[in-house]
Amino acid sequence: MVAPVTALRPSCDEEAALALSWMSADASRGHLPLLHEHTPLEIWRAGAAELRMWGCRHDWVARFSERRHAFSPLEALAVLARSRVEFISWDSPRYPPQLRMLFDPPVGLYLRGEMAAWDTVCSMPRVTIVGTRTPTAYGLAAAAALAAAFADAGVAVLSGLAYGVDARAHEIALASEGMTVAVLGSGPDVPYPMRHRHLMSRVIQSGAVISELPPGTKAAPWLFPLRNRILAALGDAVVVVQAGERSGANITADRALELGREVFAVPGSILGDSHIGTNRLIQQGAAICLSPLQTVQDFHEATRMLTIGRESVGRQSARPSEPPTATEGLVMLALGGGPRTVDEVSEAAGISLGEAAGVLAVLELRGRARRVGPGRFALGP
Amino acid sequence: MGVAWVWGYALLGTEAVPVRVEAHVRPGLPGMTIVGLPGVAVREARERVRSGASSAGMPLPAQRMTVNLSPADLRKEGPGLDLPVALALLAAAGRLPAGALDSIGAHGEVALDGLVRPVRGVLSVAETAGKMGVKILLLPITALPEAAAVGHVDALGVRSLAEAVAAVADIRVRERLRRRGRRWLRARSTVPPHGDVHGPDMAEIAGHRHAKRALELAAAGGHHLLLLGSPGAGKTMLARRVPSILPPLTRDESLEVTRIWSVAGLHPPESGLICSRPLRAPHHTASRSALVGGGSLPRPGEVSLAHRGVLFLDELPEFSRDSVEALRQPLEDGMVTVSRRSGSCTFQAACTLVAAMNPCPCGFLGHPQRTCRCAAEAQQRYRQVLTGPLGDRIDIMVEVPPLTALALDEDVAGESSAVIRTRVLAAREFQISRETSAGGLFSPTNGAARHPRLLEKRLCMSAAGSRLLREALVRSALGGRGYVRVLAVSRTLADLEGSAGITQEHVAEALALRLDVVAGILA
Repeated sequence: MVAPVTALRPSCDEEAALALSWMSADASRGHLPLLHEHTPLEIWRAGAAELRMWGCRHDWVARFSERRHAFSPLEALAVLARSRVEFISWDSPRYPPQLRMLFDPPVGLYLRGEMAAWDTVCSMPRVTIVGTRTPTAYGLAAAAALAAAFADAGVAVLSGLAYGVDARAHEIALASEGMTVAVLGSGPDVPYPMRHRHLMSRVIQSGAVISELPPGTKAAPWLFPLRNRILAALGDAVVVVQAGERSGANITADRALELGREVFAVPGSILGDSHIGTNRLIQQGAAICLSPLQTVQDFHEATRMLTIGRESVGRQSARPSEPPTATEGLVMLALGGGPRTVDEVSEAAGISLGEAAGVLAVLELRGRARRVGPGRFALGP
Repeated sequence: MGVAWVWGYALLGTEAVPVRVEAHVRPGLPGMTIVGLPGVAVREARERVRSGASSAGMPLPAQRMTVNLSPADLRKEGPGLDLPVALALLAAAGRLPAGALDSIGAHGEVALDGLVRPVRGVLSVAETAGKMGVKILLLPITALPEAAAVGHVDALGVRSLAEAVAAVADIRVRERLRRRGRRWLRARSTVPPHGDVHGPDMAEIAGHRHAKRALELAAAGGHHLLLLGSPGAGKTMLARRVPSILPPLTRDESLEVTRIWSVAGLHPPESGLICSRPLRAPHHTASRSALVGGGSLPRPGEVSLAHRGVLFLDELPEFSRDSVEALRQPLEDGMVTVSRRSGSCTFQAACTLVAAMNPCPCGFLGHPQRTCRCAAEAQQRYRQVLTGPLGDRIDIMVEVPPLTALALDEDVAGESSAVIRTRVLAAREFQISRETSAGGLFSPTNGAARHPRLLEKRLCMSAAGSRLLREALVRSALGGRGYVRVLAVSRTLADLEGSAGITQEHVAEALALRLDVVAGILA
């Protein structure tokens, strides 16, 4: 048993990277900081004494040595092939250099999606849009407006596929035919939350889903802060749409600041504590989002040095739509001043109640209006 | 001395089954036995009848007495058999002339002091007695108004067992009692004329014009409806006023409703026929059999008590899955069959369902001022009730936005229920004339599978409307069932306007009332 396994031991950096990253599914992450000094193969081959000398903790070294023997590259490659996951190792040209700035960079990334799409993402400006899983109607609307503005400007939208702001950002980026990438806190083949599996497959189709965790890894609470550091590093700037006191978005913002990334925060209500995280970021000096368009401009301004040589791809085509009818125009005009109920729209537009309800339904169906709460409508997708 | 028998009645569902109550008195050890599958209450008739008879001055003989209830294989429940048992025993004991009980029916509870008390199911009993053609039906006098609704039976109201015995024995007593009954009825004819609406009025509601229109639509087309909105938005207030805009009950409908309520023991017989549409609002802890009916001898549930009226389920997601599932058949067929060991009963249950729910468990999802604190999973779970069989049967889903101060200040009084009801009536008439001219009454939602194009042609769908409906099919989660529901609602909208064809505007408004489609709340 021992001999063939030894024969299959990783023999190059790429295999060593795969081996090392395969172990990051559990708590074996002590080797990641070593990457700044040593190649993956060196780390893989290092003896216990050497690892200790490099500053690793004793208990971790013991566990690492033990687990290292159980790894089989062939098996890992088979899993990758089966789950149609690509591995981008530490030394691959496709490994985003921005991640190397992390204190504990991922030793590789697992990717689902077209490699061409990933290359496009790497060559374009990227923004990370994050926020609470339980946004207010305003938070959702802001996420949508920002994602649409960035997608229209040819900036890739990165987020975490979570409920609330994350999902909204992905959805709107997809709807605007922009590029979007989901960074997961589970294996790249494990949709989390389960409800977003369809959204995830849509992201895979037109963008990419990445994770530093090997296929099959189940989501766990302690994995999300680690996912957030990748989100922070990969985006040229981070936009926090809405965060409460203890939102994970605050972690992303903190990590982004450590990396010197610009952090934008959407100002929110000072009543209640649903916006306290974002408002506090602004207090601490985060850039404020004045409007979706202004935010895109500020983003370009702030990240000019970071994104030199990368191109804005731009949106290829607007979705085909008939021009609005006169009544639809009236209704849209009535919605201009903020969310309105059907009753209010019918009064403001001077049309019958039934007509107002019908026109709103058609506008909603065609993505020109949306519901922001029970019976209240606003403009936009 | 010997054998005598008289007609009694046992309730089976909403039907009264004739029971031959036979009594036999013979020398032997004194005592009384009741055979023929008597329930507990019927077995206890023994004590009531014995005491009642001696209070009436006609003590039962100290002999061996046997009472048989035929058909012997039908379980009999309730105290309504007291009176026939007492009459049969007294006749068998020779207290009544021979043949006096020929073709006589009786229904009532005997009290220990010899008085006769009202019992449930009087209307059904009177109907059965009328059908069988009994000569006289003896009832407690307070039950006369209810029995009077059935024309073809000679119901005689008695106050006590002694009066009953006298009436059976003597034609002059019968005449006197008949006159007294007529006087009694006249004195109590305070029953409101048909169609008089009491209770809350739509005019009392400020704002909510969109929701009110949806209610009008539901009333006109008999559609089931869901109100979705934050706590305090006014869902319950709206729902409670639905009966006031429904057309008045016809006489036949009144009879149906009274029969069910009387059998359930919820309608005092002295108040005659029920003339206003019922509204039932069971609490969400109601069990399955409380909702659809049950019990070892089945009794009607809430859905039947709401027959021809409104069944209001507040906090719909809080109802147990089991009870909600059970509502599927009654909501689709307008009747419910309850099967128990003792047999199965079918109750009518043609009600309009009005359900209400919050947008999420805490109720503040999407509220302009408040924050929702629910986990995303909890929100999904909460809405799951709409993906079930019930969601498929709700045609109209309307959101009730929280009232703004502006709408509260509106000093223009809303339309009164009477005005809305006039339109509802007109729409129903238009629908009937339209469908009779198209060849018979027809409902697009009655489950009969039809080709969409035939269906649309039958309902006079315009080309533009058809196009919009197809666009909705492509762009949203509107499935086959949703398609038919939208078609049905848009037809009702056209009926409300008195329009022969369904226009694009009608389809658009019907789509606005499918939240599961346009708002993707089931996505």
